[in-house]
Order: sequence, then C-alpha cells, then structure tokens
Amino acid sequence: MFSIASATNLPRPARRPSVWLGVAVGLWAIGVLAGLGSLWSYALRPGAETAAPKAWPQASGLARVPGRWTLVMFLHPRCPCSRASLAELDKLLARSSGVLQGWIVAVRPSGTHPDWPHTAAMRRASALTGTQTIVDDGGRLAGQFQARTSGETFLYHPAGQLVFHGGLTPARGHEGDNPGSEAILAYLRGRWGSSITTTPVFGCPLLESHTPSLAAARKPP
Amino acid sequence: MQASPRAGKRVLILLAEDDPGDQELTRRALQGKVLRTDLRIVENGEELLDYLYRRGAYAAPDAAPRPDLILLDLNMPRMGGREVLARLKHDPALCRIPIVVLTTSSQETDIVRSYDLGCNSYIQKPVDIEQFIQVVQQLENYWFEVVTLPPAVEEEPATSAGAICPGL
Amino acid sequence: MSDSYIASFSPEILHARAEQIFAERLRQVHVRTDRWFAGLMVVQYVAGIAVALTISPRTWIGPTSALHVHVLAATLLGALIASLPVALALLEPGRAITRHVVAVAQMLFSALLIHLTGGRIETHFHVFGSLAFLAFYRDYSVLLTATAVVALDHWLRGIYWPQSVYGVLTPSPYRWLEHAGWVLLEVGGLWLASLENLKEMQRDALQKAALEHAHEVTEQEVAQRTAELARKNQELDEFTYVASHDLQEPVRKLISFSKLLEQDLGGQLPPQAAKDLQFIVDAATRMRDLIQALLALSRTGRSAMQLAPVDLNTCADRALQALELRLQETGAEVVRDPLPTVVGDATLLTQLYQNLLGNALKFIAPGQPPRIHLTARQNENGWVLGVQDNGIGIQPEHAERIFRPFQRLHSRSQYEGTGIGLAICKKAVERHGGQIWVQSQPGAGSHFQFTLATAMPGPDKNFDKNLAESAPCKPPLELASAC
Repeated sequence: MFSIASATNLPRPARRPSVWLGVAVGLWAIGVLAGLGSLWSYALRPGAETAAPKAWPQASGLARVPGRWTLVMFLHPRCPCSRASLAELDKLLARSSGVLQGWIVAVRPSGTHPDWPHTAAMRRASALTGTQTIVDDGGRLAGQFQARTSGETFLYHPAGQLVFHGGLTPARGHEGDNPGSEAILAYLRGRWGSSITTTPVFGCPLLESHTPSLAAARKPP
Repeated sequence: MQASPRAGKRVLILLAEDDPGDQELTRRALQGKVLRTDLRIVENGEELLDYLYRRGAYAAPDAAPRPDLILLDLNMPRMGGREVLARLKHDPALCRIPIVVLTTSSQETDIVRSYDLGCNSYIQKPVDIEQFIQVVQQLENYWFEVVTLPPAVEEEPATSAGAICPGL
Repeated sequence: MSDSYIASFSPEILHARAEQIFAERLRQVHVRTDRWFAGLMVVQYVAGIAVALTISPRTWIGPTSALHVHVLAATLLGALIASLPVALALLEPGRAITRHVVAVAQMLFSALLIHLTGGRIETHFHVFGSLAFLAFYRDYSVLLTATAVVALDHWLRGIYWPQSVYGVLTPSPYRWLEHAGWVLLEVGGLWLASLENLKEMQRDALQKAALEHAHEVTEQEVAQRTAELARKNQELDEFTYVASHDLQEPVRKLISFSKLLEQDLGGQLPPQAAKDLQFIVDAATRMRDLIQALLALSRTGRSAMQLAPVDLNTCADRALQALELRLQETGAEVVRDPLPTVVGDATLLTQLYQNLLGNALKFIAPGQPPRIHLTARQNENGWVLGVQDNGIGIQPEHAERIFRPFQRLHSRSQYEGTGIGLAICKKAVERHGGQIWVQSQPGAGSHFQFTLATAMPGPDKNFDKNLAESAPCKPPLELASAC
C-alpha cells in the first residue's frame, strides 16, 4: 500500500508557488495581526486614573451600612462594556454570601433626557440581589467618588476605609477572570492587607472630560 | 472464302499449355479436319521461348519449325503466359506470329492486359467439352481458311515507320 | 473484487494508478472544502458585523456616542481576514497554501468573534467547531496550523496583555495545560478520524484501479478473441474458396473425358457399361455443382461489400428478371409491400432475393399457382423484410437446419439443388449485421424473414482484389442455380 504521508503531501501540479502569493500571504498576515493587535490595544486601554476617596465620602448621600462591606460600582448606562462589569458583579455577589452591600450608580450626564439611563443593562442591574440601583443625575456622585470610567468599582471595609478601587473586567467589554474580582473576594474572605488594591478600569468615560458638573463636584478627598 | 496462300501446305499450331488434360482435349478437337494441321506442344513460357529461339532442347536444326499460330494459356508454371506474350510481341523477329490467348480465366484484367500486350485475340475456354471442340474448330477455320497469314520476317522484313511491331 | 484477485495484477502499475486516483479524489475534497470555507468566511463576516451591531454598536463618552470600534473592526478587519482565504479558494482551490490560509483565517475569526462578544464562554465553542470543520480537509497539517494560531494568540497576548489571557496576574501553570489538553484531545481525535477516512479512500482507489485494470484486460481479451474469430472466419472462407477453385479443374476434366470416352466407344458400348459411364458422368456433374455452390458460398463471405443506399425494389426486380422463365412456367403471381431503401451491398441483396424467390418458385404446392408476397414492416430496430409463399411449407423442427450448408429436406429426385441457397442467404444477411429466420407450417406456405442492421458494422476487411467482379447491381447469373 502506498503511504498516506506521501499521498497527503500531494503530487501537486508542478507549479512553483509564485513569489506574489508569498508576498500576499505575508502582507495579509501582518495586516490581520496589526488589526487584532489594535483591537486588543483598544480593549485594554484603561480608563483615566483617579485618586479615589480613601474614606467613605459622607457627603455622597449614599447610605453605608456599618459592619458590612460596601461596594459602589459606577456605570455608564449605555456603554456596552457595562454589561461585562455587571456580569462580573453578578458572579461576585453570588460568591460573597450576603456580606456585601452593593450600590450600582447609573450616571446620567447633564443634557440628556430623564429616560436616558433606563436601558436594558440598568434594568438587569436593578434585578441583582443585594444591590440597589440609583441614577446619578449630572454625575454628582461620580464626582464625589472621583469615578471617571464606566465599571469603576469601590470597595469599603465595614469600618469605612477604602480597600479596593478599580475595574472588574479583564478587558473592555470582556467577562472573565480578572484581578479585581479576585481581590474583592480575597478581602471578603478575610485575606487583606493594609494597602489599597487597584486594578485598571476598562470602560467608556462616564462624562465628557471637561463637564462643569465634574469640576464642580470635585472635592478634596 | 479466299484460299490461304499456303493452301495445300500443312499448317503448324504451337500450343503452350501445361495441363495434360487440356493438351489432349485440344489435340482431339483439332483432329478430323480437311486441312491438315500439325500440333506442337510446349509446357511453359521458357520452353516456348526455347522453341521459338531454337535453343536449348530445340537447338537442333529442324527441331523447331516456325509455327503459323500460337495458342497461349495464361496460367503456366515458371514463366506464365502474360510474360511470354510481352516478350514475344516486343521481339521484332517473332512479333508477327499471331497469338491467340486460350485460357480459363474470365477476369477483365487478364483480357484487357492481353490485348494491351498485343495478343491477336482472346478466347475463354468453354467448360463444356462439346463447346470446346466447337471453339477450337472455329479457331482453325478462321485462322487458316478465312484469314490471310503473314509471311515470315526472314522472307519479308518489317516496314519501319509507324509499325506497332518494332522494326529490325 | 477479492483482494487475492487484486493481488494477481501487476502491483506497481496498479498502485501507481491507485495513487493517481486517490490523489485526484483528495484534490477534489480539498477543492470542495476550500469553496465551502469561502462561503463560511462570508457568513462569519456577516455574523461578525451583526454581532458588533447588536452588542456594541456605539461607544460613549458621557452623553455623546460614536460608532464603536468593534463595528469598524467587524467590517474592516473581518473583511481583511476573509479576503485572502476567499480569494485563494476561488483562484487557487486545492492548493496547500489555500487551506493553510483558510485554517489561519478561521482561527482568526474565532478570535475576532470571541472578542466582539466580549469573551463569552459560548463563543469559545467556535474554536472547537472550526477545528472540526477543518478536519474536512483530511490533512493533519491544516489542524496543526490552526492549533499553532491558537497557541500563538495565547502566547502573544500572554506577552503583551498578560491579564487578558487568563485574567489573573499569576496564572496557574496548570490552566495552560488544561487548555492545551482539550485542544489536543480534539485535534488528536480529528486526526485519527482523518487517517481512517484516508485509508478508506486509499482502499477505494485501489479497488477502482483494479476494476479499471480488469476492464482493460477484459476488453483486450475480447478484442483479441474477436480479431482471432474474424481471422479464422476469413481463413475458412479463403480455404473454401481456394479448395473449391482448385477442385473445379479436375472435375471439369472428369466430365469432359467421360463424354469423350462415350464418343470414342461410340455404339460399341454394352448397355451395362453405358449405364456405368452415365453414373460416372452424373456423379461428376453433381460434384461440379456442389463445388460451384461452395464457391458461391465462400464468395459471399469473401467479396468486398460495396456499401451504398440500395433500393430493395430494384434488387427484387433484378432477381425476378433472372427468374423470368420460371415465373412464366409456373404462372406465379408476385405482390409486394413497398420496399424501403437501405444501406447495403446491392449484389448481395439481389442474390439474397434471388435465392429466396427461387426457392419459393421451386417448392410449390401441387395444383396451385404460386403466390409470392414480398413483405416489409418496421419495428423499433429497423426493417424486417420477407418473402412469403403458399408452397409446401417446412416443418418447424427443421426451421434452423435448413440454413446450414448442404442441408436438404428432400431427395434429389423430388427437388433439385445443392442445399446451399439458404446458407448463402444467411451469410449475406449476416454480413449486413442482420438475422434471417423462417415461419412455416407444412402445407401452409413459408414466410422467410430477415433484418438488416440500419447501422453498418465496421469497415469490411474481407477485401480480395482478385474478386473485383462485383460491379454494383450486376445480377449474379452464375449463382442462379445455386439453390
């Protein structure tokens, strides 16, 4: 019997693979790699770094339940990346066995109509158990927490200090294992140190860079 | 009927025929006629030429008197009738002698070729014995009583211009 | 076809041919799969755009939105990814480079789609599905290329965006193995399935090659045997001809000299001797007739057929002309159906009619003038022609015998003839690619029928230049007594 090896390396028509073909394949490979590379770059471009308030901002108006861990997540209601953050939060809540009190803040920039934040994502957010969903008109709360990016999450120790500040997604719009969720879970389980854990936040900017409401809401930590 | 110049003289027929049966039949057919016909027989083309050129077996003087008529069978062994016919009719010394092809073949090609080579007439041997005897006797009658035979070349040389027989 | 039979063929030639067949089939598989993937690429491209528009149509900065990069990526990058494989599938289907490019592009689409759906677990199934589809190529190197692309993707992201690979900053080394394990499991399974498939294709190819070979061998044998048969037939006819021809001369002598003997003995022959002599002459005459009949039969087999459109009415007319005397003697009445024009040899066909008509006029019922009907009808294969009479008829059990040479059903004192006439008819009909048969009952007349193939058999090789006597439509008078 003739060998399969010899048959899969077919006796092909004796045409030398043309140089142009090789060039085309080369250029194509470079092109697609560059394309995918830039996609990933975009997805992994973190949001603006901010200095988060290390202690619970009292003037925020958000109630903090003493003795319980408090988590605040800021979301852009229309950003597609918010879905991933919510999914991660959902997983987190499922594993946190009730020690967590969550706040989900839907930031509504000024100049948009009142119905603007009522999206499917936010409806889903409202349905999450152990959380409360509110709308932040004008981005006032966001300013108090210094939150700039959708998905930016703050975790406060039951005693009131900030222990975690960052995102819960591994990349923009991507679900999956991420350092943020891991860190939070570690904290909740009692493994925590003195420093604040930060992770990059991947999401759309909550507000336009120089909105007056942001400037106005800026307060020293 | 005009009498032949040789009236009273015996005429000689030379028969070239290889089959003994046909030889016998021809001999029998020629018997019983008023005109006295002598018959000499040769069995193939080579022997015919030997006879006419008086060589070989016929080298002796008076062994081969000149025939008045040659009866030629086409299908003879060794040299066949067609070849001999061609030879004879191209030979100035012999071409004058009338040759009658007497053969079994009815092939168109044989007939045409024989005439092209210069035979004087072509007769197909009848199958039936009685018809054969009749034909031979008619032959005798025609050539020796009706027709005027030419003198020998030695007596009267060939005329040169326009002769079909090549001149001397 | 059994393996031992296959093994009896020359192995090198067989395997070479089988390899050819196998390679061709495999190439066809590759071409088909290439084209199929080209279609899939287009579908995936459209699906990518649909996904991007559904999940992440716009990107936001506060209140303002713009077209999301994903939509751009799905449209442009998707097109780019699909461009080369589709182009190659259309322009260079079946080539190795094409399917490797397809494999790479397919994996890239997986990456793109996973990215566009935000890393959804379900989208990862596309990778495994793609590997399975790539197995259609039955080429393990393609699977390796695809696996390499996946590995490369993990590795590059591991370097530049480590947290994107597993999300954790210190990935456990076993995760990598776990991923690799699943992929290898699938690739391994697909590869084994491929191998099995290829082996089957090989077996099929070998079978096909053996079948072809057997066919060829059979065809050759058939051709050889046919040629030999034709040659033997021709030899037989030649021999018959030569023998008959050479026999004629002595027979003629026999007859001639018997008659001369009669004459020589004149009236002096005792009556007993005269009778003896008469028997000799009769026997010789009969021998001559038989030889001439044989000669006629062999000539029918040997003569060159001059094929031309022949009006059978003309042949029938000429045959009747040759039998004119007998027609008048018997007061026969001849009617005919309109006879067609067929392609054939006019001489043979005239001879055929003459023999059949001659028979019809010979074997007549006493006290009844013969009535002959020349029939013609059509069936799906062509014309069926016939000669029907109201003569003495033939017993059905003899219906086949009579077509054999020298077979007679009556003694010579009843009817004359050598018994060769119908054999000559049969040969003439067979040379026209037809068949001849008789329908008859004793006392009810006979209907001899024959077919002539409307398409002639191949060029006639029975050409003997010495038999150039058959000019078209010359009535063969010498055969008139051959019945």
